[in-house]
This record gives sequence, structure tokens and C-alpha cells, in this order.
Amino acid sequence: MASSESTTTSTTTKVLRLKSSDNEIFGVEEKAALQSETIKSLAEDGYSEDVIPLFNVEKKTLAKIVEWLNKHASGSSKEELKRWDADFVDVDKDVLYDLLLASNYLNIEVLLHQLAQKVADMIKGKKPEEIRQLFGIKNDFTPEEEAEIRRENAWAFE
Amino acid sequence: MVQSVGQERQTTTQCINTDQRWDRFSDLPEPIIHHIFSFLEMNDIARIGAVSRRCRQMFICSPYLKFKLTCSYDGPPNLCKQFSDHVDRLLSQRNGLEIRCLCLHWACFKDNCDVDVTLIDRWVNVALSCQAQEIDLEVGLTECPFLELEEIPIFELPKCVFSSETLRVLKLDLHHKCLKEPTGAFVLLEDLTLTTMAGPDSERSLKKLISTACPSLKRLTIVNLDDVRHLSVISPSLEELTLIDLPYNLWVIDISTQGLQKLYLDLHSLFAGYLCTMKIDAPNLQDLKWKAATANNIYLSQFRFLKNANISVGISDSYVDEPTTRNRITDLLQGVCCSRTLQLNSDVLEELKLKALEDYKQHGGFHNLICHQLNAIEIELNGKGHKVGFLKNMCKVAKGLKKMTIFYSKESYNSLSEIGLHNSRLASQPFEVNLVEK
Repeated sequence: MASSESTTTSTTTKVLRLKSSDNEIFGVEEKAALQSETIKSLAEDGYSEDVIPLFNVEKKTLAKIVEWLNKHASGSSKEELKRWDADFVDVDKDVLYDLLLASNYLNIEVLLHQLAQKVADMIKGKKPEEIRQLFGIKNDFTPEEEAEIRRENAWAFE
Repeated sequence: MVQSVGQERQTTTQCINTDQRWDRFSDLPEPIIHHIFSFLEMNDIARIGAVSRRCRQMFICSPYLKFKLTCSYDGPPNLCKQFSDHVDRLLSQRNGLEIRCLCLHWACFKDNCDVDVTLIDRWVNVALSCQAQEIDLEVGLTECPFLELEEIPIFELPKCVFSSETLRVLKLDLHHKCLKEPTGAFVLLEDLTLTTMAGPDSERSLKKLISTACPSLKRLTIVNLDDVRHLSVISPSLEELTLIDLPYNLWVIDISTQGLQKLYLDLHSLFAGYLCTMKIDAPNLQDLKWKAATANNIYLSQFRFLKNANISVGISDSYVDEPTTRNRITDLLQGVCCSRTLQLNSDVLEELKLKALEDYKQHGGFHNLICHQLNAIEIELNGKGHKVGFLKNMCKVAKGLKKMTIFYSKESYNSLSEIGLHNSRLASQPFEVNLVEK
């Protein structure tokens, strides 16, 4: 990652260096990076001159997150961002979980909101069997328990 | 620890089905699960609760309780009863577990629905005793939309809302009822939305509610108000105000808000014949959106900190004579002349052009309408592009203008010339023109 170059070339905009759990370093303009409350408080704690270690985020996820941070600091129009965001969250479930956990850890409220909305949209209107299938969840109820739950929440199953 | 559980799961599920992998959904931390649930209705969450033991736990702990039912006039006989039993049971099982939001959207159009409406007060009580931060009620029961009622029914909030130390957001759809005057204060309420409120007594209730009963109010939204002649919004704490569909026979709108930053007015419903007077005193306004209606005598305070103004007025729809219309548009444009960015629709632009011509004859310019602070403008062009010459003049006058975006219709394209606009600027000034077809 060309982080060291960008720190030397840019005189007006400050670049923060973020380190993933697997030791990859990403250079991100301060304005973009500070959309993350976690990075913001780490930067305030004096990490800003140095590398900011993000122990819970792997490089492939951090690369996606950095992409998002840059886009959302680029001054794109609302309509363009909306289209771009819809594309951004249209990923397979594993990437979605990684992004959810990372945006939660990094405390990026707007991104977390978009991702949670995406998962909610996947769940909406689905039956329990379909939700199990969707997320690969094992049914660990006894048949009696399941019947009881269905009876109790009959309202939701109609 | 978590990982070993995950791997164990992976191996067990792999035996059953090679397509199924480690169930990461069940391992998501609670705040993320709650965030996901905040977008779902209770029925969806209840169905998740039937997926597995872990999911059942998620369902029971969900702090978002959103119940929705619309029962049509020919719906099944005891639909409302079943619904209220369901809501009642879930709420009575909370045992003090946190409720962040209680949302109840319940409408019934059946003639003889005998549902117990006192339950609603009880549910609100339960929610508030579980530290609810948001209450959203849209309840219209046992009402016939075709029947003209002699007296407007009254909506009263349960007393417990006034003693809540957690309530931040309150949304009420009154279904054409009159709001009873508040008997206490919402000390911490920050966000209030009132929809379809009716009845002349609402005027006083509303005034009291805004000016004295909500000392911490930051955002206020009023949609579809009826039978009110004076609307006054006086609140030193308010930051955002949205007014949509006000009564057509409104006389006075009086907005007096020292801290207001955002104002959105959609005044389509105002009728020109009543000549409503509008006073806006908001010295710290940053963002203004003004749609429709020239049917007002406008008195605006100086908006010295205005960053963006979006003015969209349909002049051909108004019944007011031309000079009056022009004066009102001028008042409006003068009010927003300090804005850094401006968005104008075609009708307003036409008025601005005519006004500029008039001014040009008298004082040789239209400086007082376009300010040097303006750095971006978005305009809409309809019909043949006879306004291009005027736009060139505007580019000359607005010295700080850096960006002009023109939304044009097909027929106005031929006369639009990007180069022409560029030539009217000095080469040293950076200037960007964007043409977007509508």
C-alpha cells in the first residue's frame, strides 16, 4: 500500500495510517478516516503520528472499509452515493458479516446502519424454515417446543 | 472460545449439508442483532424466534416492538381481538426488559369492532416503565370514514408520558382527532411528529405543546393539519422544522425560533384566496426548502448564515395578480440572498428575470437579489431557452459563482450553449457548468 508516499506528497491534507490485524498498512486521508469514531478516539489518543493498529479487522475487510470511507468523504451527490451504497452492500453473506463486525468495531454509524438494513431486508417476510436455510442455522428445538412456539405466536405465522 | 464453538458447528453442519456453513448469524453480537431488528416489524422478529433457541433469545430480548395491523371493513370477525391479545401478551411478558421503541399502527374500518381501547394506555405505560425512548402511535379504531361526525373526537395522551425520564421521540398520528391540551411537560422530548390533527381546539393545544411543554424539543414535524387558523411555532430549542399540508384556510403562520437551522415548508395546500401571512424569525437558519404557494405575505428575518436555499414555486397555479406575485417572490428571494447555494425552479427563474429587467431599467442591475457570496446555483429550464442571456448576466454579477448546474428539458437544449456561459466569465475565475437533461 502506497501509504508512505501519500504522507510525504500531501502537504495540505493529513493522512492517517491504519494497520489491519494481519499487518497491512492503509493510508487514508484524515477527513475520511475520522468518520470512524474508533479511529477518531485512537487518533486523539496520540496514535495519529504513528500507525493506528486495528486488531479486529483483516486486510480484505479493511480494504472494503477504506473504499467506503473514501467514497463518503469524496463529496459525491446524494443520488450517486445512494446507488454506490446499494452496490457496496450487495455482497455475499460472509463479506456482509465481516463488514458488519468491522463497522461495529470501528463505530461507523452510517455504514453499520446500511448493513443492518441490508440484513433486515433479507429477513423480511420469510418463514422460519427459509431463515434457517438463508443463514445456515440449525433447528435445535424439540418438535414439542416448536409446536408450542408456533401456537404461542400463531399471529406471526399467518 | 468463540472460534472453537464455530468450528464445531461447521463440522456438524457439513455432515448434514455441504452447502450449509458455519452459522455466523447466531454469533453476531447483541448490539448488531438489535440494530438489524430495529428495521423489522414484530411479526418478522417473532418468526426469527421460531428458528432456533439462540434466535428465540434474540426475539425475547429485542428492544424494538413494532406492531402493525389494518383491518378492513370486511376483514375477519375477530382480527382486532387476536391482534390485541398478541400485543398484550408480548408486552405483559417483558418483566422490565428494556424497550427502546414501541410502535403501534392500528387502524380498523369495521363498524362494530368492540376492541378495548384502554389497552393502548396500558401498553404505553408498560413501554415507559421499560425505559422506552420512542413511542409511535397511529391508532384509528371504530371510525367510519364516510360518516360526518358532529363533534371531533379528542385524543388524550396517557398521563404516564409526562413523567417519563427516558422519552426522546414521540410520533402521533391522530386520525383527524383533536389533541387535548397537555397536562404536563415532556422534559426530555427532542423529536415530535404530529400527523392528521384536526379541530379548532388543537390550535391552543399545539401552541402550548410547542412553546411550553417541550423545553428540549429539537425536531418538529407537522403533517396534514386541519381546522386551525393560527399556527405559531415558538421554541428557542428547535433546530429542525418541517410543515407539510397545512389547512387551506390558514390565516397566520408565525415561526419564532432562535436556534432553527433547517426549515422545510411544503405549502401546496394553501389557497390563495385566504392570503395567509407568514412571519419567519429564524436568524440562525442554514438550510431552507420552500415548496409552492405564493399565497402569502412574507416577513422574513435576515438569514445571514444561510448555506442552502431551495425555492420551488408554481406561479401559474396561483390566483394572485402578477405584480403581487412578483413582489412576493422578490421578498422571498431577497430573504435568501445571502445563501451560498441556491436551487430555483423554472417559474422562479422567470420571475427573477422579469424583476431583473425591471430593476435594470431603474437602477441598472439586480445586485440586491444575487449576492457575491453565492458559489453554486442549480436551476431548472423549461421551454425555449430564452433565459440564456439572462443567465450570462447572472454569471457576471455573481462574482463568487463557481458552479452552475442546469436541468433542461429537450426543447430548451438548442439555445443552451455551455461555451457562451463560460465566455461571460474571466478566464482566471474557476467556473464549472453542468448540463443535465430532465
